[in-house]
Amino acid sequence: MGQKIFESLFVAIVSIFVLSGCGGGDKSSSINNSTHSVRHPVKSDIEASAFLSRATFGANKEIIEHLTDLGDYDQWFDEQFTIPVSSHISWAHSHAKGINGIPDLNRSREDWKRYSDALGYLQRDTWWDIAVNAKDQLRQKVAFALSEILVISRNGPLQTFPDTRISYYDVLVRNAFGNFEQLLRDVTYHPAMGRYLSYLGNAKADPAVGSHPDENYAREVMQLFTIGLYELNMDGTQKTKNGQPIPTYTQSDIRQMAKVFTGLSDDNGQFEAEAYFDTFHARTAPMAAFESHHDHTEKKILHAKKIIPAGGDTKTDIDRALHILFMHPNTPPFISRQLIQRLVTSNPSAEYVQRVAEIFADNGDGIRGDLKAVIKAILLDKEAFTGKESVSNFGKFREPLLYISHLFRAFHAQNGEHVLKQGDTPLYKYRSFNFNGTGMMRQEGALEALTVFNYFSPDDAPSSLKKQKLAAPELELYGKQGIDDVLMGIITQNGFVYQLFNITAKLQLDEEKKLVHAKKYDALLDRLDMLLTAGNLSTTTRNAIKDYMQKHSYLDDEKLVRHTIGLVMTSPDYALQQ
Amino acid sequence: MQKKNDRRKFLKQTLAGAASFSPLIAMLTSLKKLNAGDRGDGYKAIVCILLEGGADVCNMIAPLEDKAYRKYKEVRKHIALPQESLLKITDTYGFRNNMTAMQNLFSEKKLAVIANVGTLIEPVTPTEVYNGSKPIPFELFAHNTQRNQWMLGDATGNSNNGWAGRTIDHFYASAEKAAVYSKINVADVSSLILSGGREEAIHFSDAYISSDTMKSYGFGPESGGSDLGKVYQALYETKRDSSHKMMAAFAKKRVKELNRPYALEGLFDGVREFESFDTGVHEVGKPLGTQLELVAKILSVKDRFPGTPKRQIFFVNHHGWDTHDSDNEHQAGYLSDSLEAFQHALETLGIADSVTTFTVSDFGRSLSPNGAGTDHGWGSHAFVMGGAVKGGKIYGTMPKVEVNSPDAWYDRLVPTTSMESYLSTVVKWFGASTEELNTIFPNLKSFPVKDMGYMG
Repeated sequence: MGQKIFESLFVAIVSIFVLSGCGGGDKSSSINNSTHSVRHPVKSDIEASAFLSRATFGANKEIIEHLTDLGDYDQWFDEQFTIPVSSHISWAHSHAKGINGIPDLNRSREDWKRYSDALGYLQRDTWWDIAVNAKDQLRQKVAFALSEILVISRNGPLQTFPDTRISYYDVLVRNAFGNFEQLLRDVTYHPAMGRYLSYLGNAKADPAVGSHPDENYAREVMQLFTIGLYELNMDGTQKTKNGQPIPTYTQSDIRQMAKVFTGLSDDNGQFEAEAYFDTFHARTAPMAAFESHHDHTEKKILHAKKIIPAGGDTKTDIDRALHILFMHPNTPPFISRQLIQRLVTSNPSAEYVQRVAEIFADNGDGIRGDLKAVIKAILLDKEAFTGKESVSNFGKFREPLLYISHLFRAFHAQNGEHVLKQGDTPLYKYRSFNFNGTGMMRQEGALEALTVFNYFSPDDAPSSLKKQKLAAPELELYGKQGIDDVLMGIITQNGFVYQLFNITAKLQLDEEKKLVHAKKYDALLDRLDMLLTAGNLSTTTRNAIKDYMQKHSYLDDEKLVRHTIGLVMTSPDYALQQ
Repeated sequence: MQKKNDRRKFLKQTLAGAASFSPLIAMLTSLKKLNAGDRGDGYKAIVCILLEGGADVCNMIAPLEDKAYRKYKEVRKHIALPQESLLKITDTYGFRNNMTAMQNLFSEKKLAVIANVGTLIEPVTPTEVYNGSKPIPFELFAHNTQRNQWMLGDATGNSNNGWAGRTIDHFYASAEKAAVYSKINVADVSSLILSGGREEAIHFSDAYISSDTMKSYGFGPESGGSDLGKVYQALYETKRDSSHKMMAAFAKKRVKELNRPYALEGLFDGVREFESFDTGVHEVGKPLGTQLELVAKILSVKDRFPGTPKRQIFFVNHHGWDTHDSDNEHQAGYLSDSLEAFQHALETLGIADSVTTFTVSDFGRSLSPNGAGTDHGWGSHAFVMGGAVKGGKIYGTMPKVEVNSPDAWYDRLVPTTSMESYLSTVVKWFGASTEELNTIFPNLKSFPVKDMGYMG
């Protein structure tokens, strides 16, 4: 731990010296001002709240006050960068204590498979508890964003293996503040990805049988995880040739790349299919190389311009290929733009993308792919702070999961005892929010998309917006009334919702009740605008809600508070995070 | 885990989304009939089933004759369907052995096969693809781009809304009430195919708990407009004019959705129940059987939709066809059983001649295996089913299943029929004129065949 703090301090100090020398112009706005005396002061609690809606799973009073007390954002980053990592697999192991003679998961990890149906819920419970309660909020939020780019899912071949999914999520958590190349390597070698995209057990071409290597990962690692389909400028816009976009690779490249991803299987000592995923170790440890199944011939990729020479072993070839993709000029804008979309705004200006992509390409210290620097560049960019005034159509729609996490955080939801059952047999018990709602409704769950293309693509939008070249990807998740009916059900303790989802979460509303009791309606709305909408509650919305409160002042305090929170959080003002 | 019960509950609640019959509304709407998409030939519907992920059609249809089978076996190797197991459909081809239901439909002439169809810019041969002497669609083999081209009905990159959306716009006058109920998505994903045009598609998948929640709490207009629901709706109404384009689009969409339940009140009273649909085993996402059952239920009350639409297009998404590391045995059998259940439901309703069901897929798959499965390809076979289909035949040209055959580029089939030729045939039956077909499929002009003849 000590060494980690030292390292991040070291990086911070190096950044000060290296970056302060090359300031000036627009570029200085993001990471360059990392000293404790200049830099990014917190201007108001409203601004802090808006920042925290991007950087965490939702603001609450304590974290807003903490940030305003610190007085500047850089200090908050420094803190977040050094908070110990909340590991999802550790949480699951330490919380799920067996009952009825079923052993403790921590000791008997093979039980994951025996009880996988029941433990499938444990992945959700783990995610919710960490999202709502963990201190390493920024790391967890970035990991969630990464989980929507480097996608695996409960839907598909990993369905009955919750441990591999939780372990994969930890890869994202662990690398969220690391380097993108290391992240890409860890993702590539993880058995969950290997199984999900079918290169676990992928053998070289067998002329006797006439088979060719599986092309699945070869394609998606380029199309979705690194460079995308078309050559990009540093600002994320497409390059063109004779008015046409320029493809980044050909089908021939895919065939060549497929040869690279041969020879991996889970680390159980056997390459063959029968042995897959038999042990906890096989499902969570990096995949192993089986050289006799690897294609050792030369591979020519990216329009046959990059060569991976013959004779390399499995890991050498894979690491080389990943390095080539990492170094591709598309990777910085391709990944940066998506991270901006996940955290800040659906339609970032080209300049914003370029500023972040340049940091991705070089953090100022000659290091490419430094995710800490990229995250800071995204969240401290001037467009993130002033976009609402300075660019049109700024902001993004909130994701259903993040509505609920914010609700639980803002009102300090207390969890309850949850007993996991398989059929009628109780297996494990632990404290949790027992909130499977968004996943159950197939609206949204962490690692629960239907395909590797996630719940939405970066350019998705209703057709009326698409015509205007505007993206609103999260609207793909907004069916009829989106999350509103569930949200309102939870807030107002609707019997049907509570019963259906067996929710244990209890909101703490004492402060709000006091204000309502004293009929300080404006003060309550001020408070909610600070906690929830971060200053975006419009006058019309506010007046309509206040009018409702006045007309319903006969309701008991708690009920009126709940109605008011419900109206704020289901309002369009809240839906659009700005 | 209580899958069956969940499913029942789901359907019940989905349908309950429009509960409590209002005879007044039904009367008003029936008095006020507009043309409702009618072209003088009564009601017609088309049901598009997307085999999402790219169907390995060569493990659904295979050659029977020794010589052709030997070539097939040579390229398909260990994943080849056993010759003796094939279910004969013509003298030379057979279905996979678990596709008995589709074999029956084929022999009853209710099902046709469309051979080697795919995305094209213009007719092209494997040699021309290899030489690069003729244009081919951009980003072949990528799921999203290829699926999108199928949904747009155009591989040139010049369209930005779905072909079914464009079709509906030709059939309904603007501001016509029935038009609102002409595009119905029963899948658990949004549908590009229905997108664009004057009306957004109705999505029948996401009302999982809405109605009961809102009714019991009194939230939303279903409650008859409680105070809370009124304030909620008013907030969205004020944002329709927002200068923030994302906000305005979102608020408009929401207000429209909120108003819909009024109009659908009572629609599902007396809906028909069907017993024959199966939810499958370990399906990814919403099962095909569940979706087709919902289509059948909706069709059972089709005359009660406001405005009585005479043309409806349904979108169904069958997940799980991206079989990189497995054979598609399960998908093929499940599709076959589900299609049969659906056709029987239509026959029970007496509308089998008015509804045509057809499949599309991202692409076909590689002829040779990658081990246990296959990779992304190009040309693919499709299936068309219905009473109006001239079934029992294979349309188009069945390809030689050989590497670098006259039909393949390496081991990927090059389509010999364009998706435009394929789709325009069914849309012509649906009632579109030649002129309309040329706007629905803007690149139809590049292909000699405008009507493949598989519709009666």
